[in-house]
Amino acid sequence: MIDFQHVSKRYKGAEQYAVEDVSFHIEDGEFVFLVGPSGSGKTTIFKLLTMEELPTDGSIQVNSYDLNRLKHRKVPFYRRTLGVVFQDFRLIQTKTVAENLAFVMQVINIDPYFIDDRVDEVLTWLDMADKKQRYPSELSGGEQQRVSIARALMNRPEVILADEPTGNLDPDLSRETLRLFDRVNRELKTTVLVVTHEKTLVDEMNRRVLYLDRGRIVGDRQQGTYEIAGAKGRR
Amino acid sequence: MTIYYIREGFRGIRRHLLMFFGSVAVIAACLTLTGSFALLAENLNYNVDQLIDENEFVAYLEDGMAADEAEALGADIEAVDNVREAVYISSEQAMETYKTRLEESGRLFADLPEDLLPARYTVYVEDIDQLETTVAQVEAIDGVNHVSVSLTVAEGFSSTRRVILAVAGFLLAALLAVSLLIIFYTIRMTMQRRMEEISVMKIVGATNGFVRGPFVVEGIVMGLASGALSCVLERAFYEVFQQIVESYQFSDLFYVIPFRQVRAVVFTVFLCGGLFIGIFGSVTAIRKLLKV
Repeated sequence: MIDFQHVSKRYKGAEQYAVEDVSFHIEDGEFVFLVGPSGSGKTTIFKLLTMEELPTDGSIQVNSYDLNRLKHRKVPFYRRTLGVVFQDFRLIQTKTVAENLAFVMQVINIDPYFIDDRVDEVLTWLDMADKKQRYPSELSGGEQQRVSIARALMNRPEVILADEPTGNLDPDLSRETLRLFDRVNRELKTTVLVVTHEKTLVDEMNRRVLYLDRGRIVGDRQQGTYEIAGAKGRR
Repeated sequence: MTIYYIREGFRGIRRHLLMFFGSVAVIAACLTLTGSFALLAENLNYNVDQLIDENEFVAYLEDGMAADEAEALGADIEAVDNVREAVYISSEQAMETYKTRLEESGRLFADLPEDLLPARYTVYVEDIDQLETTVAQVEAIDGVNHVSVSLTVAEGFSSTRRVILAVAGFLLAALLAVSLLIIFYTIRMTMQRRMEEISVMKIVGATNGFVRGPFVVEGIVMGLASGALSCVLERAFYEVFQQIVESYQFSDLFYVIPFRQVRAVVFTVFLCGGLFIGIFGSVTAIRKLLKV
C-alpha cells in the first residue's frame, strides 16, 4: 500500500514546488504507471518513496511505514521492503550477476546457504540461470535490466518501484521489461509502481495510470491509456 | 559480518589497486616529510640543549677564607633552587690552571704566591631561563664575594632554543595540516570513484555501518602499509643525513642523535599515525557519500 496525502516538495533554493499537494492511494497488489512530461515531478515522487528526499508538507505512508516519522537509522530497514529498479540499472560492475543479487541479502546478514538458493530461484524464474557468473559488462542492456529486476525481487519486496526502467532500452526490450513487471505483479502479487513516459507501452498494458503535470496529479484512471489519463497534449 | 568486511575490504583493494598504491604513496610521503622535519627539529633542539647544559657561572669567594670553610659553602650553593652542581676550586687549583693555560709565559708567574687567586665555585644550573635569579641568590650567600657570568650568552642560548621550538612547531603544524588535507582528498578521490557502488548499497537497505565496514578495513590496511613504508623511508633518509653530517666533519659542531635512540618512537608514531589517518580518512571521506 502506498498513500500520499497532500504531499508537497520544494528543493532547497528553488522558488517553485517540484510536486504540490499530491494525493493518491495505491492498494496492495496494484500495478500503476506514473506518467507525465519531463520536469513534471515523477522523479521527485520516486525519491520521496525511496526516502532519498523528504517531503516539505503532507504525509506519506508505505505499508506499515509512516515516512514522515521514520527515524534516519530506520531508513535502511524500510528500504529492504522495497525493490528498486533504475533506468541505468545501477549494477555493481565489479560483481558477477550472482554476486550482485547475493549482495542484497548479505546486507541483511542472511545465511550464505539461503542466499545461494534464493539467487538460483530468482534467476531461474527470470530464465537467466545461465548468466549467473557473467559480469554486467558482458550482458546486453535488456539482460542487465532483467538482472536489476532480479535484484529487486531478492528480498521478496512488498513494493517494486521502477524509475524509467525502459529508458535505455529499444522498443522490443522495453515491451519485454514491462511484461516482466506485469508478470511479477500477477504471479507474486507484488505492488508495482512504474515511472515512465513510454506512451505506446502504457496504452498496451491497459493498467491504472496516474498522470502528473507541473507537480500536480491531473489524472487517475483505473484502466487508462497515456492520452486519456490526463491533460492531453501537454506532454 | 566481520569476515564479510575483511573479505570485501581486501577485494576493494584488489579492484582499485592503483588508487590504493597511490594513496599509500601519498600518505607515506607526507608522514616521512613530517617525520623528517620533526627529527631535524629534535636534533637542533638536542644540540642547543647540550650547549645550554655546558653553561655555568663562577662564584668567587671572599679572600682569606679558610679551606674547610670554603668547601662547606658548597652545600649552601647547591641548596639554591636551579643549581645542579657546585664544583669547588681552591686558590692553588685556580693558580695551577691559570699557569697551564698560559704555559709559555707561565714562568713569569712562577714566583707569585699560590693563594693569589681567590677560591671559587663553578656553578652549573638546571634551567638557563632562571639564570639571573639563581646568580642573584648565590651572590647573596655569605662568603661569596662576587659572581662572574655572561647573561647575554645565556639569554642567547635560551632565545635560540625558543625560536627553534616556535619555528619548528609552526612548520610542523603547517606540514601536518597540509599532509592531512592531501591525504583526505586522495582518499576522497578514491571513494568518489566508488560512489555508484555506495549508492547501490544504500538503496538496497545497507546501513551506514555496513557500507563503512569494508572501507574501514581498507583504511586500516592502507594506514599500516603507509606507516610501514614511512618507517623504511625515514630510516634510509636519516642514515643519509647522518652520513652527510659526518662526511663534512660537522660532527664536532653538530651531534646527530643515533637512529636507534629514536627508532621506537618514530616507528610507533608512523604506524599509529598511518593507522589513524587511514581509518579517519576513509570514514570521513565516505561520510558525505552516505547521505543517500
